[in-house]
Order: sequence, then C-alpha cells, then structure tokens
Amino acid sequence: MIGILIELMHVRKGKALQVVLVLVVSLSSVGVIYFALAHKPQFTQSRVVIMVSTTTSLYQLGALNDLLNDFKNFTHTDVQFNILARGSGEALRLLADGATCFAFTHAPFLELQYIEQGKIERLAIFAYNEFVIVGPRTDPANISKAQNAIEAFKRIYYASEMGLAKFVSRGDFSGTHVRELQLWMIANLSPEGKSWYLKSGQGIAQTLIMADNLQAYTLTDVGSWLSLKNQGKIRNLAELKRDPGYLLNTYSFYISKSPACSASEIQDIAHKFREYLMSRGQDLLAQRYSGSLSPVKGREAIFLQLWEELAQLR
Amino acid sequence: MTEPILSITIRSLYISALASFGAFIVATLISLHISRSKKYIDMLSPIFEALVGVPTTVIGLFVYVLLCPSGPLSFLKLLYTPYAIMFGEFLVALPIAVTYMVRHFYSARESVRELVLSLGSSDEKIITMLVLRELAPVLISSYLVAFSRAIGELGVALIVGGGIEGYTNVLTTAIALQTSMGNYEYAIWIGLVLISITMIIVLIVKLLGEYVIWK
Repeated sequence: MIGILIELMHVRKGKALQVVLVLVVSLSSVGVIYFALAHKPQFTQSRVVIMVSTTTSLYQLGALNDLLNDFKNFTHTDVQFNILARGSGEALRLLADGATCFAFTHAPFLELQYIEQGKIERLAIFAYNEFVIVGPRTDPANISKAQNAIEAFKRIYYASEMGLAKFVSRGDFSGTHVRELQLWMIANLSPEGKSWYLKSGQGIAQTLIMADNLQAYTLTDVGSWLSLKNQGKIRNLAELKRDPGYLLNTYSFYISKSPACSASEIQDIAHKFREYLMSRGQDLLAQRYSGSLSPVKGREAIFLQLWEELAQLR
Repeated sequence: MTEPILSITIRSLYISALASFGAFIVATLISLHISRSKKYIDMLSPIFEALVGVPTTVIGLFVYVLLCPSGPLSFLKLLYTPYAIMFGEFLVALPIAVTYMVRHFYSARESVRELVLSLGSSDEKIITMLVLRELAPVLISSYLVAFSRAIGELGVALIVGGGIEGYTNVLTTAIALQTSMGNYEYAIWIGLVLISITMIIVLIVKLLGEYVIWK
C-alpha cells in the first residue's frame, strides 16, 4: 500500500505531494496526541473511596444513584462511591470478602446465612415492593385465579408438565431467584431438570425479554417489570399474580465486617448514610419512586419481623 | 447514568494498549528463548497454545483471588482499578503473542543460521539480530493480535475491574451492562465502535510499520 503511494509520489509532482503527505501526517499526529492528553482517562480518585455492591434491580431503577448522590450533596461528605451491580448472591459474597464495604440486597434467605457467619451486619431495611408473577396473556396455567403465590407455582408446575406452559428462572442466586427457590420448596415441588424450566443465568431485563420471546411465566420485582414495560421491551406478557404475603420484597443496607472495611472513615460514613437513608432518603423514595419502591419509615419493627419470616421461609 | 462512548473508548485504548505492549515485550523474550531449539518448541508450544483458549472469566477469577482482601497481593490495593485490568489483560494477551511468534522465530532462525554459517560465522548474537530484523513485520502483527485480544476481552475487565462508571468502564463492560439492561441496540452500537476502532488502529500501525521498514 505504501509502495503504491510512494510510486505515485515519484511519478507526478513528486515533491509537492510528499510535502502534503508529511504535513497531513504530522498535523494529525499532533491532533491525536493533544486529544489524548486532553481526555486522559482518570486513573486516580478522591481520598475516601467506598466500594458498593448492589442488586441489579435497585441500580437499574436509578434509585441507588439518586440516594447516594443526594446523600453526598446533602451532608457535604467527600466520598466516592464505586458501584458494582450484580445479583444479590454475588453482591453478598463480595461484601463478605471485604471486596466491597456497602451492599444493598433483597435476598433475606441468603442475607441471614452471611449474618450467621458473622461476616456482614445489617444497618437498615429501607424499602420494599413486591415480586409479581408474570406470564402469557392467555394464562394457560390459570394462575390469576390462584389463592396465593404457592398455589400459582403449583399450577404453573402442573400445566408445564402437561406441555401447556414454560417457566424462565433467573438461575443466578439473585434476590428474585432465591425467592423463587423458596416458593418451590414450600410448594414441595422440584422443577430442576425439567425441559420446561429454563435457567437464564442472567439479569432481570434479559430474563424478562427471554420470557417475553418464549411466552413463558417468570418471577420479577415490580420495579423492573414496570420499567421494562414502559420502555416498550415487553410485548407478550401480563402481570398475573400478586401476593403481598409470600411475594413481599424487602431491600436492606449492609456493611461488611471484614478488616478491609474497618477504617474509621468508612464506618463513619456508613452510619451517616444509615441516618440519611432512614430520614431524608425515605422522602426521596416516596417522591420519585412511588409505584416502584415504597419507603419503610415508621414501620421498621414490622418489617424486621417480616424480614425474619422471609429469611426462614422454606 | 451512562458515560459518553468517547471517554469509555479512550480508557479502553489506554488500558489495552499498555497491557498488550507488556505482553508483547515478555512474549518476545520468551519466544526468542524457546525458538532456540526444536525440543523446547515441541514441549512448550502446546502449553501456550492451550493457554490461548482459557476463558477470560477464569483468568479474571484467578486475578481476583490474588487481589481480593484475603488474597496474597491484596496489599497492592489494585482490585477494581484500571491497573488490575491491565495485569489481567497482560495475562490474556501473553499466550497468543507467544504462540504467534514462536513458529515464525524458529523458521527465521533456521534460515538465518544457514546463511550465516555458510558465510563462515557462528555468532549467536548476529543471528539473533538478523532474525529480529527479518521478523519486524511479524513483531508488529503479534503486537496487534495481542492488542485485539486484550481490547476485546470481557471476563477480566468485568471481574477485577468491575465496570465502574467513570473509572474502570471499558467498551466490553459497557456492552455487557447495556445487554444486561435489555438495551440490545445500544450494545450493538458500542460493539461496532469497538470493532471499527480496533480495525483503524491495526491499519494505522501496519501502515506505519511498513513505512518504517520500507525505509
């Protein structure tokens, strides 16, 4: 390629073309270098950096970013929150390791296990909403007439065994998946290995899209469901069963008890944030996320009890 | 909530260019050493070839175990920084650079050795220098292959980098994040940016290389 260019240069008005070429190359290299230096990526951060792991639904709703930013502005705290959005299972594991120091999760069953191992400490149960069972509009398993979530799951099981339906599971030990597993346990059924039981192993958005494409039933939290529906990504599914008892979904704030998180600055900010979360944070949730997330304010004792029941449900 | 593609791209380029450069240097040294004898090649080459196929997630987990708070290298405090990604991508790019270079080095060594011997000398240093001269294009190509592998990998960047907005978010983690949120179209768009940037870099480096060699 260069050979051709050089030949060209020698054949026609050699000198002029050479000069032009040199000019172009040098100008563009200067341009590139200037550009690169001007936009040098930031490889350092402010003094106090706190790693946060969170469940994906809270992050994708935007609620977590809102709360953390409002906290920083309101209390003038100089801190950088780095957020890792994963399923609750991984979020709790990272917290227990000390790889992250704060975590926001919604899997009481798993949370209890880590608490019992002494690796994490709960600072607050700060929000709740519901899980809902969604599925094809025609509702072949007829779960909208079921008495509660357990019966709905039984109906899905038997209808699927007859080839009338499918179920998509998160399969990733996220908060949603853990609740789903608890429900199968209570119903005394095991869908594991069945051809109609599909484990996506992915986040809630992808799982819902998969269920939408396959016209299958799935369990989801109401915030993600409404968000995706409003974005027009779900066409074939409808909300079929609610159950404020078995399908209550509580969000909690945890800190790590790992020595990596024992620095006094981190502990300070943790308690400041807890105070914020249960006062001004509650109002923020009520204002901006009504319908998707509800504040717990005033009912802390009740939710603590509900959390314990959910954590031991099996 | 999402960063502009421009800053993500520049970050990707910085991290992967440096990581693959490190892999290139080390791979060159390794290949020069291995290509000395057929025995070495037959023994070690398959190992590197197999390592090319290690899932990047596995490499990412390996680096996580080293850097996590209970790991041996936790005092470096590199977890969830761009430097952790650089280290991981260095490991990802190394096997493929070695595999690419070793065979070429060996055949070039043989022909150069014949030539030099036929001219009456047997100096290993001269042979090595001539081999490097002869193989400049191969060196360039192997750096580009290492670079492509590094910039396109996801497992390491996600696990040890975390994909943190404004800090360790690179093109591949941005694609993964958008995909997990169901924004498939935007994810494809970022993917096209990744492919075009990689191609442009490869073309430019190749051109520059040819120009230098031509002179």
